[in-house]
Amino acid sequence: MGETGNRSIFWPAKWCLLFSLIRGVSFLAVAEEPELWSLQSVNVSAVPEIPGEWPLSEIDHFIASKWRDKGVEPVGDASPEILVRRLYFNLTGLPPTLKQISDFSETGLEGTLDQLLASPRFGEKWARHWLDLARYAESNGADRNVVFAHAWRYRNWVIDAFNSDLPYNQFIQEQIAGDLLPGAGDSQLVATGFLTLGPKSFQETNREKFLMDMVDEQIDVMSRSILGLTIACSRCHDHKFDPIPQADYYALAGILLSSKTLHGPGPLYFQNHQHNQPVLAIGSEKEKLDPGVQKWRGEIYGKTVKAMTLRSAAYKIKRTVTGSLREGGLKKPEEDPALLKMHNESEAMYAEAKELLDQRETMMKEVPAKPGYAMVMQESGKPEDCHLRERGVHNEHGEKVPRGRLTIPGMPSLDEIGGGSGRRELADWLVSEKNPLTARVMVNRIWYHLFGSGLVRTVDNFGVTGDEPTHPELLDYLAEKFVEDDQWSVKKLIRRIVLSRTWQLAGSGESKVGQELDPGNTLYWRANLRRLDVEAFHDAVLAVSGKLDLNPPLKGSLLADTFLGNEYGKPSVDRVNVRAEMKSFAHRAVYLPVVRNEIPDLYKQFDFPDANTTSGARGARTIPSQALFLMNDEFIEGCSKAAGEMVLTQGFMDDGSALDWAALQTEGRPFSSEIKRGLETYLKEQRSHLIGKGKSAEEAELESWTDVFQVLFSGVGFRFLE
Amino acid sequence: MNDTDFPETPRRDFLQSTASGFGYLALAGLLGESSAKAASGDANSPFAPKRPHFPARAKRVIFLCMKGGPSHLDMFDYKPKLQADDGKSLGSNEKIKMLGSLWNFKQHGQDGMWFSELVPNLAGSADDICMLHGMQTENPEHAQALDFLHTGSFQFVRPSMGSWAVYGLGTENRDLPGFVTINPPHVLGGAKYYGSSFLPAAFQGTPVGEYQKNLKDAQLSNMSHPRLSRDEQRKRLDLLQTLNRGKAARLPENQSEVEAVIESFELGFRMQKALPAVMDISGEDPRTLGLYGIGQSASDSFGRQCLLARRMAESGVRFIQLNDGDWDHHGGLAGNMPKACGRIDKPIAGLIQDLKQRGLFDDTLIVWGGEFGRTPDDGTRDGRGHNAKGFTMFMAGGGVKRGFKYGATDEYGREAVEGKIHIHDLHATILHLLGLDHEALTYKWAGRDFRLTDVHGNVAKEVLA
Repeated sequence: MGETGNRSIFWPAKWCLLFSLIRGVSFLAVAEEPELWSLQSVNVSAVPEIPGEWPLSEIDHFIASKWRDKGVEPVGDASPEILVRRLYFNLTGLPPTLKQISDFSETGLEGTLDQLLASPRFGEKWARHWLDLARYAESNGADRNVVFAHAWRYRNWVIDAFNSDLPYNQFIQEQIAGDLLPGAGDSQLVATGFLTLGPKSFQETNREKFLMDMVDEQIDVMSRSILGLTIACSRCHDHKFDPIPQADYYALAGILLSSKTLHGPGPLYFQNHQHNQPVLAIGSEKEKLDPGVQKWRGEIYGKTVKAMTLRSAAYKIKRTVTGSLREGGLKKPEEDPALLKMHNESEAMYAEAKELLDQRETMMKEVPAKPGYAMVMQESGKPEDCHLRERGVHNEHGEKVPRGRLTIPGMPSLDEIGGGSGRRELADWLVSEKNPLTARVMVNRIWYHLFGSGLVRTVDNFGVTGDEPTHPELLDYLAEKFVEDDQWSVKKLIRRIVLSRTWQLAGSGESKVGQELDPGNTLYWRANLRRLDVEAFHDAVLAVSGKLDLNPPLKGSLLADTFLGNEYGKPSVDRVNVRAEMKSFAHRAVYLPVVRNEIPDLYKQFDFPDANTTSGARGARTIPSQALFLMNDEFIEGCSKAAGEMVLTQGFMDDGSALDWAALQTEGRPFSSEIKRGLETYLKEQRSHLIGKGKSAEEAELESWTDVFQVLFSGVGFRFLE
Repeated sequence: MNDTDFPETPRRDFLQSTASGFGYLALAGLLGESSAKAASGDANSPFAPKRPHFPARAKRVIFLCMKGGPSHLDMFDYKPKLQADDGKSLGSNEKIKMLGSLWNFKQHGQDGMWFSELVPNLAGSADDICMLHGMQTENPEHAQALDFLHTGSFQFVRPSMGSWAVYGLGTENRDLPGFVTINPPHVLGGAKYYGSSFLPAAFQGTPVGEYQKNLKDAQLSNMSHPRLSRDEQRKRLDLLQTLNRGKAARLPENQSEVEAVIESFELGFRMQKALPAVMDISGEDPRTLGLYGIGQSASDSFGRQCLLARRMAESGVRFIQLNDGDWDHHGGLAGNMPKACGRIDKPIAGLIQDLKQRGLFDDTLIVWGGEFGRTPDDGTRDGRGHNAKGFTMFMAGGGVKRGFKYGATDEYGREAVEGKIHIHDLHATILHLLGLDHEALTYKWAGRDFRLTDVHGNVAKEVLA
């Protein structure tokens, strides 16, 4: 995590000493049992006995045994209308339609659950959770926000992987070493995009430093998302808290440095820093089409570089002329033949540059047929162990650390690395059944998404500074089932959890001492009230207003065609304008391009994660600028109007029946009679108020209904899930 | 601030416990509305004013950011030797020649502070300014140096200075954001310069206006409804609040969460009035406008920024950043410097004077500067290159010495040699003046404690009043 140098203000010497002692002790005990709970092997205990009919699944036994210990009793079961809404949002990120609500009584929870697991909407919802962890973005952010025009293929790969229920162990293996797996095809290559998508300092002039920073980012994302460990903290020194020696960091760094990260070209102006990489041609026609594209790109690139070089040289001459004029007390270059010559020379260079750029513009319109391209990992062909870097400083080389020599206690050792980088062995190690972390971390993430809080609250940190599990036996039970019985099937795990009675509890109700003893609901005696993720909110508003387009965008991403490549002199996002298109985007939110540091207002307001870093938990802050957005933004206004128009075209016989319809559309159940009365009164008064202001009856009708939908979209009943 | 008003909860504990999502953000707006609510509301709101680590010398900061890297050699750092060696080539490359300043310098104020003729109004404020000649930063590239200036890091995305300040101190006006950045650039680091990174998002800066556009045309987003009047909107909001209160009653276990939503709408509704009201300068005295150079084409735009800064300072905004660009003078120095200085000279002097006459200067810290300075030599004799090793910034107001110059560069102004202040030290000093210990203002994220100053930074005690 950065070159922090050799002095630590956070940790005075005596603390460092104490931690070293603790670590020393834990090392002595390594072979037996690591001290850190998460590194101890998964321990399957007997399912606690819970008499009676309450439990529906073994999960319920684990949950109920804690209640029994504490004397807590749960609330009752959720009503069907709450359950159907909970199920649809949790499985697909979309609200149930009126038909789906009415079908639920017949199909039941289990039947509907199976339908939803098979729906393509499932992958679109669950992929987004992984994309948060993969710090997925379609631009670099950092110092130069170059566009990753092909990143969307990785996004689609993740969606497909969740839809096809690619076993989680393979899911990880393909992302780390898809290119090295037997029978690897384009899909496996695209999967390795995971490691390529990080923000990079393209302006860094030192190549070695650039590489060490890139690898650091890869280690950080990989270790926190898959293992819940902050291994990148060991870049400069042994980990301050967790038993991760500094050498282990460089054992991993060597593997990644022995690979090539094909992230595509950096910005044009920094060509000389050697940070350019190609992207890989894929698809059946790659051999046929790629050479033509490369030739075309090469010519455009050549013209661009030449034009830029000319302009830069011309500018320098021009500056010299201006400087000389000032010093000589002259006004115009014409007054001095030498200066005039220089002046003319620079003008000619500018003209030549312009000619080249005009030619380039023409060429850019004559795009040859293109194959697909992808950001991928490849072998460097020159595998090499990495020197430990003293204090993390990129050019202070210490001892070489053999690639893959990992010594974290409790973890298996890596298979011997043959002639390759070691990525293949690393991928196997990450999903080894002897690895106590990978399954635990993923099971906990899925639990978190289904309940709104993890069994381990710190979903990304299973280290010493993270929280311990509230239900360690349940966590291990689920990890064991996930790996052994369900063969790493995410769908089966979700199914297992959703069918528990715990998941089906109401959000509120009579409970013996629940609220007194456990107001934070760590014992899951009721369902948490959860705000919809911004994607679900976006999609639901569009769905209710009849505007949602469930097809993925045709060209992969709004940014896919906008950019031919960064070498054409349009290197960064601020030079193109996709903001307008992003505003009218009516596909599901998962398909909206994520542009680092340029997140649209809706997403910023509602806690879309920082795509610069991996993050497994969404914030749920409540701040006034959200209220301002909901009250005034044109997205909400436009969708409210569209929903209002739907009411008018349906020709309800009175406000009451129209409101009944609106209630099901937005909240999935009827309004209370008091709320309904309030809405009816508002409609009545607003109509006459608007007519009094001179509006026509039709205008008054539509505007009043627009207001009602704005209120419904802003309300807790729509934006929160019980 | 009254120390007894604040709970003893350590700041980090408070955030850790509230970040779990339970009652995360009952807003500052709760304060004062009912005493029972206020007690819990205060403890839960990240915006509520917080007690500093030690008595603060400044309650707020106005940071005047000059993007591009202004030339200290043509404004504040007079170098007779550079003037004398003008045109000489002193290094191994004979094309690189010394370029003396094109402008005359004079000493001003009791401490004999040097100012060039480009900044006559600032020269008039010499006795209010604490000039820092020994500034240094890490990297002479714009993107890195700007990241560094704003966040103390250029390798990673880190919280910005303003976010740290609001995280540490909260805000004093419940109707306004605690950190505002006016006309922020959207290029290079863009939103990173006012981002909260891993700090809770509540601490991010609120951008107002657009980069290099005159503030008089600035539109605040979502501050008014396209169709409804304020009364109509109030009526519609009442309907929403009825719905939400119904929900709160039905979900007693989640009452505080729903109430936070209700309160956030009330605060938003108030902000709609408060923020445009702060931005509306139509009631300002014409003499005040003149003081800031508003109405004069050269200084109108930045003058409006400075006036708005004063209005926000008066209204209790904690951290106000103003942004000016076009200081990257590789060429056309002779024409560009007078233009750039003309934009900011009168407005900043006006700001100092106006803050003084309103009694705000004593507890408002002004910080002026860019991401780096310029080189004394260049191949073209028409401009200057980037210089990270030595440049000038200045502070004025709350807690710093007045009419005081500190630090020095070498005889050509190339490198700081005395009284060096690294950007980490600048950050430490700003936090110190706000009453915050830069080593204690930490936030735990990804398994370790982070600070604005990472593991560096020393308070520049010599400049403290």
